[in-house]
Amino acid sequence: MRVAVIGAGVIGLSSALCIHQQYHSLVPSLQLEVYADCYTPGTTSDGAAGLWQPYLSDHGNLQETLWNKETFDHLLGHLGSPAAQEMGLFLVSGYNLFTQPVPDPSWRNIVLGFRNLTPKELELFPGYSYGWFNTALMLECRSYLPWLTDKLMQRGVKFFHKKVESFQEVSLDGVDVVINCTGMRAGELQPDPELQPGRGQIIKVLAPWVKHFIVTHSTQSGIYNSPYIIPGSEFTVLGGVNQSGNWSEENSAQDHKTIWESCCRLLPSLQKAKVVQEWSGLRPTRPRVRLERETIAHGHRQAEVIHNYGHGGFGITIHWGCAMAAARLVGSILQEKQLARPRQPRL
Amino acid sequence: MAAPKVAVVGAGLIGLSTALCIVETCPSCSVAVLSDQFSPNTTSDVAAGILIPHTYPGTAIHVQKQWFKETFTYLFAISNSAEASESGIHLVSGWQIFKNTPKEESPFWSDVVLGFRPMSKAELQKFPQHQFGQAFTTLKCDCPPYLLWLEKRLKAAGVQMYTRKVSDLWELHSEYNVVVNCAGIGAHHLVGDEKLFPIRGQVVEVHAPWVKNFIRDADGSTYIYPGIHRVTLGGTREKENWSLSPDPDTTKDIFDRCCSLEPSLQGAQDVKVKVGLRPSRQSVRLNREVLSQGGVKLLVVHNYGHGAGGFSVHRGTAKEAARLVGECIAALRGSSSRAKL
Repeated sequence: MRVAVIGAGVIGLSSALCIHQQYHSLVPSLQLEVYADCYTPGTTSDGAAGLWQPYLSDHGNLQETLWNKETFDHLLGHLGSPAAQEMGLFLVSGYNLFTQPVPDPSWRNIVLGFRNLTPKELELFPGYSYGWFNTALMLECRSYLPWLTDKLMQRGVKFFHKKVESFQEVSLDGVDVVINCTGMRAGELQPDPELQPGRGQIIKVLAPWVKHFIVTHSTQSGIYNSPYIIPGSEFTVLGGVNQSGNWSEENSAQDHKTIWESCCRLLPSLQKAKVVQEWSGLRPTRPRVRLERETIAHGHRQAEVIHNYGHGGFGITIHWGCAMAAARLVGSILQEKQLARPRQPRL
Repeated sequence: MAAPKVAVVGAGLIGLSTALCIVETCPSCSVAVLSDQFSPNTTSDVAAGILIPHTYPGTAIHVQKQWFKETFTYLFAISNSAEASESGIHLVSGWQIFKNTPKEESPFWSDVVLGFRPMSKAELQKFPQHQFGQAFTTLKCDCPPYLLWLEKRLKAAGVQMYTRKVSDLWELHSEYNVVVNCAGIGAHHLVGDEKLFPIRGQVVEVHAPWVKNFIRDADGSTYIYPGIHRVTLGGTREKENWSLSPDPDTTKDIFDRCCSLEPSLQGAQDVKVKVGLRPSRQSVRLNREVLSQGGVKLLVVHNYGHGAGGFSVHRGTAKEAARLVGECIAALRGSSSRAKL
């Protein structure tokens, strides 16, 4: 039973691990493979700061809220273990800022210690009149993806450095189930007009005195189009652009200026921070995550494809819940295949 | 009278911050700092510098609260400016945890720090041995950066710094009009204050940059304070122990206690062990004294004995000491004008 995961970002690797964890002992013939033309540290996931935080509103999409919660709880459970540091996992507290009162987010009870900001705290942020404080998690992919890779290799999962051009290519090779975790480039395997780039640019600086995340919100600009500051274990990430439909992965001088000036206005101490790196990436944005099964027929062969892409700017936040959902879909395929196997003839 | 000459004895946190306050309130004064030790070799350099007050049994609570408020407000403004990184001052959030629920749920300083509130059940799950906790955001002054920043401002204001061991305040009577005694634990010998005693503290500094929150056991003995570059793990409270030598068994014990609160510290690198003697007293000695010998007077202001709470109240006591220096100078001016009649 060959299962191939296409894509080695946070979605692909976590899906692979989840599937292997759940089925390798139930299905002795299970062979898991990962195909990607891009591995850490070159994936979109690597560019993300790694802060666990969903969008402000789930738009009634309780499924995604549940996946977010499953991810948070799963990671929280790992916090006390010796693996946490290797995984790039740690707690971080911080601020969400608004120019007017807003309803509490869907995740208020998922994070720790969620509360409104006091007037004295708001004095720190002129121009913002309302906000939240909470403790959340950081999961840095430059550590997490190698950790996942390590776990997968220990389990005998095979990795291939290869650009998959079509689902057929993989199924003709004998793969039974394909897990499509191709993120931004899912459209190359199967057109999806709902999948659009949400271009982001970030500036990585050295500012180890920053111990809190600060995420601002603007109703006019939209999510991630407002300055944010996220302290990592080594660098602090400054960001705040989300350009819908922009496919450019080149750093823009104009965006640099916008991000730098707005973040320094937000946190004056950043003026003395040393810039270390600049990066642009494309959030694989979709109205909702595509997490579903599809049977693709070509000729007389059928391929089972499980799509798991379109996580926008909240891939890290939602990844484990989606990995488990993808694994459940694999489970249902396995069940069907068992039923399809011919019964032993009675003598 | 010519520009009054003021000597501040001691170049730790109290000496430097007091000198700065004197410069601010008495621009005509000529101020010098005399000390046998400067940063990074002062007691203040060992402390993590977190702003969580220590309660002085001998001082009215409203006074301690005023000192803390002044200090917090002063540092808050710096932390929010472009000078923050150079000064070593930064905001940090975290938790103070209790093995048993305290009688007093809110300390006197709970409305000075930011966002003070009890910890939620979910937050407490991280600490299975503890039943109760408080979450808040406060400030931390990293040393040496903060002391070096104070020195820089003093030098810019024309304050001279001298490495000099003062054995007796009287030896300064011919060079200075007013002496401010900020000798910390040194005051035990310098002015023979038997009420001043050391409480030895050993700390372990590690490189663990993923630790972003402080954790403090309310018993005061176990704490994790993340600084700009290093995390300070503590600690000990050994009364009347004058030893400045690090003890390896203590290091292991501190590390074990801290790892039980924050397991990820197992992976911490680059361990440095330090020892400091908290200059402890029932209350901070903050008063004026006139020393006289053979008709010659030396006006003294004392500002020492801050124990475990130096960082939390330093600006408040420095301002009070500067005010007392102002009184001394007024007295000197008064007596010198009387002498002219």
